[in-house]
Amino acid sequence: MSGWEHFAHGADIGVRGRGATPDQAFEQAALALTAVVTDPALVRPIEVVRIHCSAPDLELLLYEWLNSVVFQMATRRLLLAEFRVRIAGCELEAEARGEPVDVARHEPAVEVKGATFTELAVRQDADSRWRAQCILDV
Amino acid sequence: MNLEGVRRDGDYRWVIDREGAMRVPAVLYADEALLADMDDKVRQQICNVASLPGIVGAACAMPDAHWGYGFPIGGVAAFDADEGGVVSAGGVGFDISCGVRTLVSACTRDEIVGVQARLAHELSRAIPAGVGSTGRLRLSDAQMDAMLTGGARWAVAQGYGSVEDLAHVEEGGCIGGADPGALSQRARERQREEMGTLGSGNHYLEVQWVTEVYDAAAAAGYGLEAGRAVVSIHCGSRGLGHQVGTDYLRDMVIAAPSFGLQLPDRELACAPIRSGLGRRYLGAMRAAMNCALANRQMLTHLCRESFRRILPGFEGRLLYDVSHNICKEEEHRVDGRIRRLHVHRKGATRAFGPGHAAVPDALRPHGQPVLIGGSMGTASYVLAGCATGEALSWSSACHGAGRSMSRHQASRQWHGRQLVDELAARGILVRSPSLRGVAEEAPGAYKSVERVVEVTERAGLARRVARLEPLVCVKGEGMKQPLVFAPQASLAFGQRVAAACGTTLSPMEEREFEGGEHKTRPLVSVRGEQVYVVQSLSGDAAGSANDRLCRLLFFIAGLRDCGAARVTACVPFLAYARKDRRTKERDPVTLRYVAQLFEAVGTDHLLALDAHNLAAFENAFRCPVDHLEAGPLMAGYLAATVGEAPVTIVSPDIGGAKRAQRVQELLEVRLGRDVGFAVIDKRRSGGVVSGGDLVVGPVEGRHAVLVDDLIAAGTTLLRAVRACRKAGALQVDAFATHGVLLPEARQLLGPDGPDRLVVTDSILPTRLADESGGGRLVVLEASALFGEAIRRIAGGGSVVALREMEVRRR
Repeated sequence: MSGWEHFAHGADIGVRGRGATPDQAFEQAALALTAVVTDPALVRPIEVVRIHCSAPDLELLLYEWLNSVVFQMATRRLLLAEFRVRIAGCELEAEARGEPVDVARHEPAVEVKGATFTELAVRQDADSRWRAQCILDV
Repeated sequence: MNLEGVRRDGDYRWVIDREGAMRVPAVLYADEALLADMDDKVRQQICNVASLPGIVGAACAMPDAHWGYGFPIGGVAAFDADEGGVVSAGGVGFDISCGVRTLVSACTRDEIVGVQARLAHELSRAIPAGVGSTGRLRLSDAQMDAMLTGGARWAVAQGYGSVEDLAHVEEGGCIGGADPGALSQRARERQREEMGTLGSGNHYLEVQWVTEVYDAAAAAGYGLEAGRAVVSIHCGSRGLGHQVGTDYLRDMVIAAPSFGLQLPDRELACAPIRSGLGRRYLGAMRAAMNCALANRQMLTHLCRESFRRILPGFEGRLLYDVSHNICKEEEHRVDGRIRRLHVHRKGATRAFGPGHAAVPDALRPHGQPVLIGGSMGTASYVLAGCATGEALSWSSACHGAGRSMSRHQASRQWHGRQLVDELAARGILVRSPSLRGVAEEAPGAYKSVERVVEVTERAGLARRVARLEPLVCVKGEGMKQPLVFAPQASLAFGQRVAAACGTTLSPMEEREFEGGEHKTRPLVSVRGEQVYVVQSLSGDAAGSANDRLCRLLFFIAGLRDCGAARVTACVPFLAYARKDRRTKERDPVTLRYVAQLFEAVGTDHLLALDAHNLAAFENAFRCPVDHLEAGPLMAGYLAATVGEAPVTIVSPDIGGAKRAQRVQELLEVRLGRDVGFAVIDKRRSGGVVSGGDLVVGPVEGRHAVLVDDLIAAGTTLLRAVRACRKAGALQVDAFATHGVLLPEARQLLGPDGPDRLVVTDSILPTRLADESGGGRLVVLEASALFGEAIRRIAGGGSVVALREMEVRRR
């Protein structure tokens, strides 16, 4: 079972993705990021963005991944809500789908400035599911 | 916060003595209540900061301190480069040089209140804000470099504001040592279209008024007078700063071991000031500060322009502009000796006391203005730096209120619409593109700024000069408000369309002259606006289709003359749509002529509902058109009202088969079961329609639903009803988009008529209004379709997708 959730941080907000694999946990964490901005169900998968990133370890890779999503959303003025992630070693290849921000329909709540190192963790929990989480600066 | 090991040192000063890895003590400024409220993470983080190499004096936390990233927000720490001191990307934060600037004015509160709504509207349109907003300026690489080294000076040179402004910006509007070369391509990319934008979250532009003056001399020196209006802008270095933070936080985390840094937490990532990475970060950070200063300068200009459109004499002199997320190289006296230190202020405001050389001449006797932003709808403060702050906190004070509740909690506890209404009732107009955004920024989700400011003063960090309350809070262009007009003849429909797209009809004048001439004009300015005109082109006793067409065309032409940016004609019933081909020799193709008329007067876009033949309609116009369909409305109503009996959709003639089939498909989706389809073949002999129609398809023992685009006299429909009954239908309903319903259509409500006659409100069924046929006549509201279409067009969405939405549910 995969899924995502938000968790509280004083001024900002934490995103946590879970899944059977790190790939799934990363996908869900990105979905949680979109959910900070708008309801992901409102985002239609019309445009495709390919993302590649690499980092020396899985936690830094999550930082790179979420910040790449933030960068793509900011510069293309897109909302992304479908993610396919493949992680091989320290390399990540992903396909993200979404659509341009439609202020009237998406009512985006807030801009994400970036993913941070606070509460950054990628690990396997006791139930053997993977978790990928960190605090976003909004 | 756990107070064990926290030593009280005066009424508002608390010390955690050196322990473990700490190189200096940690000092917190707060009263007992604020201290108790602070998260334990603040304690942990400020102690971590105290353990960083080269830290001087003490690590300080301001009264509004809360859990941050590595450094607490509200954290202040100074480092000496000569002693291996570090610079920390986390100690500056992601929103580099986020800060506040305040403009003072001669306007009184009452003058503002008199134009408050117009001002709010004007500002919300002029100030790009919110997710996905872009500025008017797109920077080339060379312009970007000039901006990054020039800051507010660059903006003034580009025509934003005046040279006089610069003296009242920290660093004279431009910090030296900026290194555009230290920025990643991503950082540049993120800023390319974001100059002169406000951002989102707790950033705002507020029109405020001075409710109270605490220090008359300083207030006079600052130009603040009770009852007068001021404007405050709170924002930072936008995408560029966020990306610099992102890039260097990562680089510092990765490089930390190479500097031999033992970090208790990797989010404390830093680099020695005297390292290549440290120098590069400082260069990039200063470039980001210039970006923030330029950005606030541009917003100031946009704001002044907006004010002047409404209050022509408005000046808006800049009081001051100061950052609260930055690392500055400053001289401070330590143990009697002047030392150059790198002072990090993360959510803390520099607060130089009276006489300090960095304070502009005119303000110097009173100390540097310290601008404290409140949360949405609450008070803000102007403080002044005081001499005592130097020894206490490297001349630093608080920066704002700080959250007491997460965004998630806030959005569950408050509704944006309700908050906007409540604040409006208190005389505060909020303009935001996102109601969820408003809920997340609810005043109740923040701590009381009053208490923070009071403690800041009592602790000797800065003193209060004036208190400000908001009148207008702009956080973005409220939902783009299209202007919707509807002439009398379509008033009720127009009102429903306007309501469905979240607005009300804009006023217009309609005058009649003798001889049948008339004039119409908008009663509000349409310059630069997206305008929608709703008019159904049906004829009735009050006016002919031709008359209404003429009025619509003249009104559109007038709108264009008045400078409307875009005019969309919303025509629920398009007259002449059926005349799309020659059926006799020398016949006119009137649909095309109507299209030419719309184009000739400057119609940019036309929306119509079920225009008989989609292809003919789309091809007749050269301007963009969108075709809305009543099918989903019909299917929705049917799905809610049909019983268990099998249903068959019936087209009364072969020409309308496609339209009827679409309703069949939509209904199948809604009902989740098969729906039959039939078509009636009109038997003709010698060109005259004869009786004895053939029903092709399953009707016997079923609920038959006739679907057509238009009912005029109803003769064809009545024949079709009879044919279905004859073929054994249990119940026969008739659905049509447009109920032209001529007087003869009365026969449809007679004993031979359908069990239910369902039309939309594209034409008011005035002729049958007096007799609803015992509840047999049902009118569905197509106005919602137009409202949604306008919302989508105004918000840059797709109308075709609206048409396809229903089918995609499969």
